[in-house]
Amino acid sequence: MIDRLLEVRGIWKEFGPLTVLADVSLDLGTHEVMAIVGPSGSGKSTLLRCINLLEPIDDGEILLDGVDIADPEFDADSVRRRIGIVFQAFNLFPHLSVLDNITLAPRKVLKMPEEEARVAADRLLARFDLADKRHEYPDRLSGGQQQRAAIIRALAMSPDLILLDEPTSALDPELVGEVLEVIETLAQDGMTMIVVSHELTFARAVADRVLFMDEGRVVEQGTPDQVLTAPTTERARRFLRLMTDSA
Amino acid sequence: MTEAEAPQRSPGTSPGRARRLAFHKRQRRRSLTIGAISTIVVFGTLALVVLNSPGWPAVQESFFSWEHFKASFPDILSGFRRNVRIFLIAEVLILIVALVVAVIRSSRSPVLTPLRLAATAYVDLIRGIPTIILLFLLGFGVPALGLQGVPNSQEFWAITTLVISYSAYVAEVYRAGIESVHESQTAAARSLGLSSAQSMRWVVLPQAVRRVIPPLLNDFVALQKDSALLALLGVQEAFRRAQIYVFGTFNFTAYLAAALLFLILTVPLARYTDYLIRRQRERVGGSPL
Repeated sequence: MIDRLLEVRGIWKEFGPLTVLADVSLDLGTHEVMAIVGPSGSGKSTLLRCINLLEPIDDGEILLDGVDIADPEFDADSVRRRIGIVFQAFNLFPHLSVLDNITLAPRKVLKMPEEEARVAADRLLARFDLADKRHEYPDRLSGGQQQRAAIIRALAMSPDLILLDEPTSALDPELVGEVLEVIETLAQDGMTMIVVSHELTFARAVADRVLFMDEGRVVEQGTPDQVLTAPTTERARRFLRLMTDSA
Repeated sequence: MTEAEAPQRSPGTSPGRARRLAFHKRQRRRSLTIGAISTIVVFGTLALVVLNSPGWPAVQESFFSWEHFKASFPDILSGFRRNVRIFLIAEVLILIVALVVAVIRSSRSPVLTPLRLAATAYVDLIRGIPTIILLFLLGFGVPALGLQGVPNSQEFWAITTLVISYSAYVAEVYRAGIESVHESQTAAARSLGLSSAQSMRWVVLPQAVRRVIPPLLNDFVALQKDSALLALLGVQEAFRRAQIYVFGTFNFTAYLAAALLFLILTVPLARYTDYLIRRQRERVGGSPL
């Protein structure tokens, strides 16, 4: 029996007449890293938002530790604290310092004493090289620093799983490296993650498994070698050719 | 400074730069001169017209009499203390009531549906009724009911009217602020496990309130002036005191004295509001005030 942290079973998501996710299934074991690739508009980000319950699904099941969290009667807040999400545009809270961004949820949701939350945050800040920015406000940070702060904010809740939605797409090219490095460190630590990314080299290096999506469907999934080197479908081949040509 | 002394052209010493600086300096001086001259001409003409009008001596006597100013001022000033007290109390209450109304209107929880309907009706109705009518209805109507335990002091009902009336406007200002906070902020807060109430309290409201401080202050400039409406209930505030003086002497200088007191308070607040708006425009980022 494989230990399955997350099982997505045939989920559907529609926005009006538009089907964004059609019968998507995937599973993810603890300590596994999955990369999701595919053209824009293929439903990758929506899939993450559905797993995090930020978007309600229209059909299917999402099992976290065997419990269907997508059941409409399930307490969504208790799930979200176990699943961290890192957004493309960082979404840091602009009115709070980096430190307060990180400690807000541990204090308010986990009811952690302020001192304890601060010590934990400082440890993470030091580890990811942001200790000197702890009292800065987000608008004083570079994009790379903001995204690292956002990753730390998600980590501070000690989630079972972190979802990263194109974490480097909003960054200037020279800042991409520092963020990918953080994600790689997390992968080495055994953090379970799903990363939506256009960085194929990175996906190959970090991911245990790759999922290729197109038009709301999972077209291929397997090891990075299977999906990124020798894709079986024409659609995946065409996409990968485009990505490598432009790179 | 010659070019020979500066073999390497450092910034600030090139002839082109000097020429530009001189040009801008000339331009600045020219616009200052034009501004000054046109101001003097406009206001000078206006003053000449007014001072030479046939009625000016009579107007001067009844509106700008220094004797009457001195005689009426102490009384009006002591009445003005009442205005200050009234709107200080009203302002605090308005900030609280309006915030509650705005949060209720912005919430999506089904439990709050009846409250949300009530809040919407309140905002619509009150904004549609002239403050002066509301003042008469509450100030004369409610005490006339003679209910047990309901205060019948005019000042109490005057403050209540201002709070009810202004909270409807201020609630809409707050709500505009709440809606201006991008939904990605709520998404980030919810994704960390914060409940919708916690997201509102710790993420949305702090950002919303900061953004609406200038329009809030603007409403308070209006509130300070509207405290003069309380004279109509017989509250002994500045305008009422001025009225009493005018009725006794048939000299209108007392009104001017009252107006001056209001100006002393409202003009700095209006200037400060402008300053905040300017500063907010300069730093679009979210750093706290």
